[in-house]
Amino acid sequence: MRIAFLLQASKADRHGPGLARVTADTIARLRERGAQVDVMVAGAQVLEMAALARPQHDLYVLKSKAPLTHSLAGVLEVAGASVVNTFSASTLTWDKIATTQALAAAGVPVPASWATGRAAALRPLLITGPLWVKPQHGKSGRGVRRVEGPAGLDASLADEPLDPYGFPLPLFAQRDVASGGLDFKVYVVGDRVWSIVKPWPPRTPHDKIGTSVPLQPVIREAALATGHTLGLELYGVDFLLPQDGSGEFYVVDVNAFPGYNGLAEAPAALADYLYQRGRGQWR
Amino acid sequence: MAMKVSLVLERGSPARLNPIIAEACARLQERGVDVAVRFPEEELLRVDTLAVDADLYVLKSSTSLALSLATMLDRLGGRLLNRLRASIAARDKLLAAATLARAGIPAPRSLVAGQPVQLAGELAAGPLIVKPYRGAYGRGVAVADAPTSLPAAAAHPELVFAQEFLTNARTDLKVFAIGDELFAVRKAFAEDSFLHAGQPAHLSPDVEAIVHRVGQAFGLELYGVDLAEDEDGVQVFDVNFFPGYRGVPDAARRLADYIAGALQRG
Repeated sequence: MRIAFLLQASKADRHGPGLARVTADTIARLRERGAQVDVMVAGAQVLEMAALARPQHDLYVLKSKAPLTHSLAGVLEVAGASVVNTFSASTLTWDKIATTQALAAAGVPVPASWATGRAAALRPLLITGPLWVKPQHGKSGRGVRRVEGPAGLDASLADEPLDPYGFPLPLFAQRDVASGGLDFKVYVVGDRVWSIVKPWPPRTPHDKIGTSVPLQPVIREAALATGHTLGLELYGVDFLLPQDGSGEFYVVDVNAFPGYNGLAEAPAALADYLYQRGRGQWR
Repeated sequence: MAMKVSLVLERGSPARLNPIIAEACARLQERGVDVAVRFPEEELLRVDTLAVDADLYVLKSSTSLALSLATMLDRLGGRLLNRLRASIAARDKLLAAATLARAGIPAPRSLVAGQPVQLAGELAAGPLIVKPYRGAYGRGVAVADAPTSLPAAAAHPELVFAQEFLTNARTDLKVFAIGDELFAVRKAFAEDSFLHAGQPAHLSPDVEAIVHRVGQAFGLELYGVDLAEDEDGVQVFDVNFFPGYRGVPDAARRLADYIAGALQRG
């Protein structure tokens, strides 16, 4: 069996990315089982589009979320390759606006959410309470800002943001939900589910890794419904659980192929899943 | 009750409605169709309670928010013209190249890299046309024939897409499709060529067949295909969803007819 991991060359490391420990461990386990694993570093060299028209691997693993890697996954899928997570699931998950709507329509609780191209359009919402303003695409909380009131808007946001190509960039805003100082993360590999709690904001290195906690059935169900709705196989779901005794919860972020940090079982579970998927099982 | 069509548009600069679109809207209204014109960037869209509010959405914007809105409406069961998957494939030049290759449609050699400087070694084989992978209206398109004429990395921050520049092709052939109807104009290559109407051109049956195959491969109904012609035949070097239709005779009437037909087909 041949499996390729699609990674992105970082600007800092011209010789290719250093593999994250979970990825390196997963690859080692797949090789132990006899799979031939290649690492494709997108952006490290010039690729002929024609060479991508005939996929050489049984399975492509889309690890990076960079636009180049993402588009290459789409190109490989058009050419008939098997990609995990699929291009359509990754595309949807990469778009926080469409993801939030898809979850809401599927009955997964999300905070009240808005999208616009004009920061000023958020002003009326800020009169009634704070908002989290997030980039449409993004991970690891990058670019996420809490805006307390109308005054904070002018200080932190361009009124009509543009992308690097000069096209308008959407703003995505969610109503603030009290989190009780905890970041609750659920990680999924196929039908295996784990949960980790981290203090927010983190104060020590251990805070960033978090603590494994038992999973409430209702959270497990919501995490699996999230994956099912978006078509994801390998994913992480961030929950906010207001500590007000109401039992309410909200899904506030979804990541395709997350880092699985703090989960010792992740590499073995990932290797199992990818091995089966490469043989055409699962799904 | 009147049928409702919602046009999802992109605010140009200067901010005015394309006259062809404006006339198509007026013609639809004359037929009793309820027409809404939307610029998603100028709205405050409530995302978690979004609902379908039109019988048909016509997507003529390639902004991220317009694509998000189209994705949401599609998931909610709304009808889109062009279809969502078709627009997504045409918007990303890598996906478009793969879609053309899969359908066996002649296209120039295409390359992708992380940064423009990486293309320097490829210029020995001939000049390249470098394009933003999510470009539109020719914005940011550059022809490079030497390493020094490659664009700066800042112009292509995420990836760089390049095609072999067909030096023997004296003119571009631009074909506009409204369903099965095709219209062609010929114009000299220019960075602002989308603003010029060009000269009406006759299409050979072979070229017509290629354009129809492009429509089928992408699933596009309202689209534009840019071709380069030389002695060896034609090659497709760009595909656009819902182009401007400049130079197409009676474009507004034809568009209104097509949209009204799509509404009736249900």
